[in-house]
Amino acid sequence: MKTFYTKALLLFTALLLVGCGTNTEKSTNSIAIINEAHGYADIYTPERLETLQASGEKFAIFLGAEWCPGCVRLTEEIHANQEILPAGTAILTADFDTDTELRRDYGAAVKHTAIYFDKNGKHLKTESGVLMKDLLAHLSGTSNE
Amino acid sequence: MSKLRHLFLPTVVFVGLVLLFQGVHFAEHFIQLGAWFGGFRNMPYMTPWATDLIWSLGEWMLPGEEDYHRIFEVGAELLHLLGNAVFLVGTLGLHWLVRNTYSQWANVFQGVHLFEHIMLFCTQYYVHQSIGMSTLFGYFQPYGTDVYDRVAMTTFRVWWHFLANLIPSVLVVLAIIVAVKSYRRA
Repeated sequence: MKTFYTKALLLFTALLLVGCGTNTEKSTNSIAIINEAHGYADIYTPERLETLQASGEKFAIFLGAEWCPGCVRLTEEIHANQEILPAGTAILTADFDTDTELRRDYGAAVKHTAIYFDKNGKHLKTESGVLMKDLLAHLSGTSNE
Repeated sequence: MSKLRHLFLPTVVFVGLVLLFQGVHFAEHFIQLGAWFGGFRNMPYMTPWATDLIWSLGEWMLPGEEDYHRIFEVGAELLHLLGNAVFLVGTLGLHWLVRNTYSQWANVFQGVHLFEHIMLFCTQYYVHQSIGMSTLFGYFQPYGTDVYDRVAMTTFRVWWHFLANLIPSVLVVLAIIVAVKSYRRA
């Protein structure tokens, strides 16, 4: 019976260690595709934000977190569906946990938040719990802002 | 009882399979706890295969839903509800087989645990918020309020469900050990 308990303890310890080793590092690969036929999506950097603010086009930043499955799905959807973004517009995707300066500057208190900018690069609003259609409504100018 | 004797062997096999399932389910909670110790505290960690299952269940429950968080939350609560319903069926089957104090208490604890998951699933599905003992009746949940605290919410929920699985699982093991010992004596 002692052998059974020892094996059970070893198994539980191994499972515990599997969890402890969970990878929480974020991906930093850029997947920028700049295309004049439609909008584009890219990973947020302060330099890209500055470039977009001077571009004369509407854009948005989506703040998601690596540990948040809903945020990851929307981030993937944004990057995978750039052809449906209106021409000239852009969405940058930022990391809620590491881009803390961005959060502070635009009052993003919770994950899964969008920061909207107008054509002059001026901050319009910060909104949490957004869907893909909300981002598209802003970029295409059909939202009530 | 003698009329039900032909059900004995199928019940043993069924209970065995259910307890095997509970082993996998409990392993998931162990991994979740390990991830918590490893610093993953913004939400309860779930393995990739559990996450895939959650997405599938959520999409099945809410066809056409565009809010990914809602799909995931409903899927997660449904997966837990199903998993714990299966375990309760197993503890009931075990009690029918061995009938001792441990198996009786395993039913009681797993019954309470399942009730919690019925609460969490129904409130998540109907009022978009998981309200139950393990979420302090929704106290931690609302976004954008002073009480919103991801780490506290995760810590409370991870430990609550780990213990809620540990207690009936230990009782089930004890029930089997006692039953085997008395069978050998007989």
